Amino acid sequence: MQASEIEPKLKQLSLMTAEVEPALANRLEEVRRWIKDIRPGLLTRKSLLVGFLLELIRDTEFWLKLKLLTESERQLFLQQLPGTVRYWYEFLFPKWFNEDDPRFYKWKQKLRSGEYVQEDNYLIEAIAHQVKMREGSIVHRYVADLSMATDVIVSSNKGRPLCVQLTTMSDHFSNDKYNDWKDTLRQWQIERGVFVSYNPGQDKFIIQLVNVVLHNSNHLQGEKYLKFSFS
Amino acid sequence: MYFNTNENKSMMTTSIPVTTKERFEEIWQALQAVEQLQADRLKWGLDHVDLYVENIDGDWLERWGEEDSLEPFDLEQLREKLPQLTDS
Repeated sequence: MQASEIEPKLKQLSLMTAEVEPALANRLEEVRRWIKDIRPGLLTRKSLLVGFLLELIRDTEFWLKLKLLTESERQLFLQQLPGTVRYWYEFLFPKWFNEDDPRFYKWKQKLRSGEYVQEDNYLIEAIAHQVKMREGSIVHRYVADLSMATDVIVSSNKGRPLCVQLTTMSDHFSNDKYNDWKDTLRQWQIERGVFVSYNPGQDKFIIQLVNVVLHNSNHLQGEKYLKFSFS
Repeated sequence: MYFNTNENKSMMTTSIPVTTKERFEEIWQALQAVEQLQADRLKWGLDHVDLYVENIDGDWLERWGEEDSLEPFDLEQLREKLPQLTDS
């Protein structure tokens, strides 16, 4: 795809969704309009914006295909999906485009300024690798990260999806961050979550961390938001 | 839940899957595309976009929304002209 084809693609998807999912069409238009306001000279990292747009395009394309299925086909199809993927498309993604997103304006600015840095990317990749080896599944999305304080959604093979937030231990505001995180999850009606603070540079804790997450995917009750530290 | 095959939509969608088999094939493809994107993002970080999009450093952002301004502008011009036309 040429970069110049991104906007026509968004427009096309917005038209295609207008009838079947008007709220999604509106959200796509909203995104398209605010990109217009970006002064390109001020955009430090175009790849960040492009990454987000690519994801939004792919998610919308998938959503449209899902809408094309009959009700019974859809149920049959969804049953085949890993728990995290199902949770994303049945619950969080539609919630995001159907509801007001109070953080939308904040993260627009983050994407614009390039302030959003994925320093924990290596960590998420390592977690994803471990989870996959143990037959679990993950979902990693910009929208979950920026709007729902969720770096990664993890589920064990037989467990239920769990929203995981990672933060570095050096962060002195860790406790405030934990409370904000909890509020954000509640606001999106995310029932269960794990907040992990870790010591950057140490990666021996990854196995332990994955153990904890998979265990809680199996056992954590609703309305529970746990905090763990690994050093 | 189905698309109406009105003119607008049929222009947009190249073909509308008719059978269950076709619909399943299409949605599995869409799912694979999403999963691949996620895997590439995890593997390559921000650089993964270069696998998908060319000419990121072109002027596409400068030109974003260019077409939007045409319509309101024309309408505005039309409105300005209308009273003159009716006056004369």
